[in-house]
Amino acid sequence: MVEADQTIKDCYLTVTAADKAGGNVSTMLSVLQGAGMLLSRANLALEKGDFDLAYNLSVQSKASLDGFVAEANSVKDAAEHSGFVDFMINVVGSSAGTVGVVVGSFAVWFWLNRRYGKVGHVEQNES
Amino acid sequence: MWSRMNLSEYKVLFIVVTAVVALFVASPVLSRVLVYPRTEFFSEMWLLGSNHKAEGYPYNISRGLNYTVFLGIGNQLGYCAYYVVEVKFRNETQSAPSSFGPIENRTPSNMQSLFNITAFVADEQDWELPLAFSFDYEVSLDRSQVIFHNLTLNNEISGLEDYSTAWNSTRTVFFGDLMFELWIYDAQATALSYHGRFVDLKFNMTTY
Repeated sequence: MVEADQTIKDCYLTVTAADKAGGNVSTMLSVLQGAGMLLSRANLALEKGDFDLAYNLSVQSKASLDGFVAEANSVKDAAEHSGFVDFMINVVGSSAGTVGVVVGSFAVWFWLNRRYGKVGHVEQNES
Repeated sequence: MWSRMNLSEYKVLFIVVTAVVALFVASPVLSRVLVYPRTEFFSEMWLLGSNHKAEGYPYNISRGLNYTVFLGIGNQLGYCAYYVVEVKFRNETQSAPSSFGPIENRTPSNMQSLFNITAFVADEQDWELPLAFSFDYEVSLDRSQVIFHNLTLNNEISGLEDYSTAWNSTRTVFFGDLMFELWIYDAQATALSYHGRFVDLKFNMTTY
């Protein structure tokens, strides 16, 4: 029972890390929910003195979390990669693009001035 | 006849077009920077009646009869939370959770938890569980007190052998209080701690 409880806590910490990285953890939270409910029933069975049921439920709880930490870590890694790409496009790319637009506009403006002469000068040829 | 362009006439137009294009390109980064930051982080807890509204709560309880309510938790803490709801029962003279003062200083009831309900709730998400419960009890021969046998909650039975409630002649009730305390797992302390919130249902245990 103590092992099952510790497993749930360990899994919760990995889910928290995956969630913080921006991963979708809703399915994993449902799995944790099921394991938590089994452990709650195991605790109740223990209080009632039904040791076999308590043992079976805690084993089921622990078994339902097999491979959970590895899955949570892969979700975390994928979320971190996706977050990096998102940062490069939406923050770095957008900031650089904005600077590029402003600098490019100035460059075009000065080029136009140089190409078409003095600003404000209108040359007319009347004959 | 030909004329050279007067660029100063187009200066304002050029600046406006540049500004619009620059804002468009900057919109992804602006959408991150110009978001009003969350300043309040909290948890919510509620009970709804059988019709899923804040009405129709059971009050007059009959022995063996099933009653349904909905228990809900809302997470606004900024991270996915590990909650445990401790279900406790008390009579008028027994300890209740404190309701006043700063929430971090509030204390839980010192009654023993009858059921623990686990809830993992993602940030900005709600969690809800229908609860069907019934009480098994008897009234003493002199009709001065109700003696409890057990509480059934979602088909799980918990013994109430040491529980009883005396007749309150002022309020004309056999008072019972079913409490749902919210506890939260503190990852740093690696333990559950009382989250300062509870909801409860107050009953009159009827003799029929």
